[in-house]
Amino acid sequence: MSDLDQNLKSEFQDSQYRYAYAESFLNTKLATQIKTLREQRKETQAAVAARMGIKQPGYRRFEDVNHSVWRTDTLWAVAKALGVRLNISFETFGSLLDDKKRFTKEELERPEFKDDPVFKEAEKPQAEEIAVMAPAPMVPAPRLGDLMAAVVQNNEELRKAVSMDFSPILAALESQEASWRTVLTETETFAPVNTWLGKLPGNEWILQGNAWTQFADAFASLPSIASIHNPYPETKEGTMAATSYTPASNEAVESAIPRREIAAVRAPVTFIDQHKAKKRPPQKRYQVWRGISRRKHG
Amino acid sequence: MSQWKVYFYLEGMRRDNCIRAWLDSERVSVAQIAAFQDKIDTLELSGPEMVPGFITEKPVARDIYKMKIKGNKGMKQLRPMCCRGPFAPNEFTILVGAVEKDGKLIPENVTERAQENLKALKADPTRRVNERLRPKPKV
Repeated sequence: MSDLDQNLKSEFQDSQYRYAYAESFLNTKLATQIKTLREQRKETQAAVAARMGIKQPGYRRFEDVNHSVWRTDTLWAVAKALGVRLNISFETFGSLLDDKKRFTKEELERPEFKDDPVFKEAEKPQAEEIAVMAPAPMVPAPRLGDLMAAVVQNNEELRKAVSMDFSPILAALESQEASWRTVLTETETFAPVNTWLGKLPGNEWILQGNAWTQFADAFASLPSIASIHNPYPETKEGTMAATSYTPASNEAVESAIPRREIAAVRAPVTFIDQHKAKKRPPQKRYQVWRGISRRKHG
Repeated sequence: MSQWKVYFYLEGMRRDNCIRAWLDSERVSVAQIAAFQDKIDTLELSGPEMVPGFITEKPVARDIYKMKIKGNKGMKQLRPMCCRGPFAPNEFTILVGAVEKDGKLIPENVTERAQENLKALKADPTRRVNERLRPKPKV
């Protein structure tokens, strides 16, 4: 426990003291956050004041820790001028100790609505949906080797994660006939990739004898790929995460999924747990519907 | 987390904390002492940038800055005087207490007193202390 914690624990026994202290900190926090948000937006006091419909001297007091008379509508006006929302809540006195320690500029900064990562992400699927609705372009399907090369070259994170020369792997991929069977069974080719991915944090990147499974998500994130079709349907072999998968059915997979679908079909890559799949209840919904339907006609 | 320190000048032969003595003499309320302590704590934890308006940006006299602790209606407007340092860049030393009434500082010669105390402090670096405004209650 820090000295400040100990001192405040003792001082806060006095009710009048703790309320005054908390009120002062609230005023400090409000004023400092308003100043921080304005500076984060690289704006002048006059510019924010103008958006609020007031003059700069009137606005300046909001950035003063001694300002103590706050009205909710004024705070909303400040929030609107800075592109954020207002949140008012009641808290314990104990949480004030933590608030105090976390009182840094970085903690107070908030992005404007237009830069809010939540809504920026939400825009993405919309664009993808439009792309999917449009007729599939008549272009040859990309080869797996091309895809992998693109993943490696476009993914900054992967490139930074390890210092490794990918050119032999890429060359090997380029020279191959791009077939799933070839890629999946060429363990020698993928051994370095395995090693490389094994160094990355998170086991989702660790290849366990199945290159496709591990690269699927990375492929899907490429702007040139509308989606990735799961080449392994929800069958026993569909246990994508399982290490026990053997590439025995590669030929069947190849014949079942025409290669042009790789780029055109939009379907999520689903990894089905084999054991869970077995326990799935029968299609009750369909049976019920049929029952009602029959009664209606009867 | 930044590490700032706020010290109080120790005045007179008895080396009393100048601000504690002044708060007692002015009969400053518990609420105002709490508000003052909060601002000092925030200043020490997060730095002067995180308490805008607490210390004037421009000096009121050479090397002397004014601190502002606003009092509500009927309360005193506390304006203690401080200096940056003077021995390290990330510290402040409060040199003398003052109040503001009708736009005038009381006592009138407060900035001169602050400068005198700063001079005395520079001559004797032990003339300051880092402590809470309110002494701990004796158990």
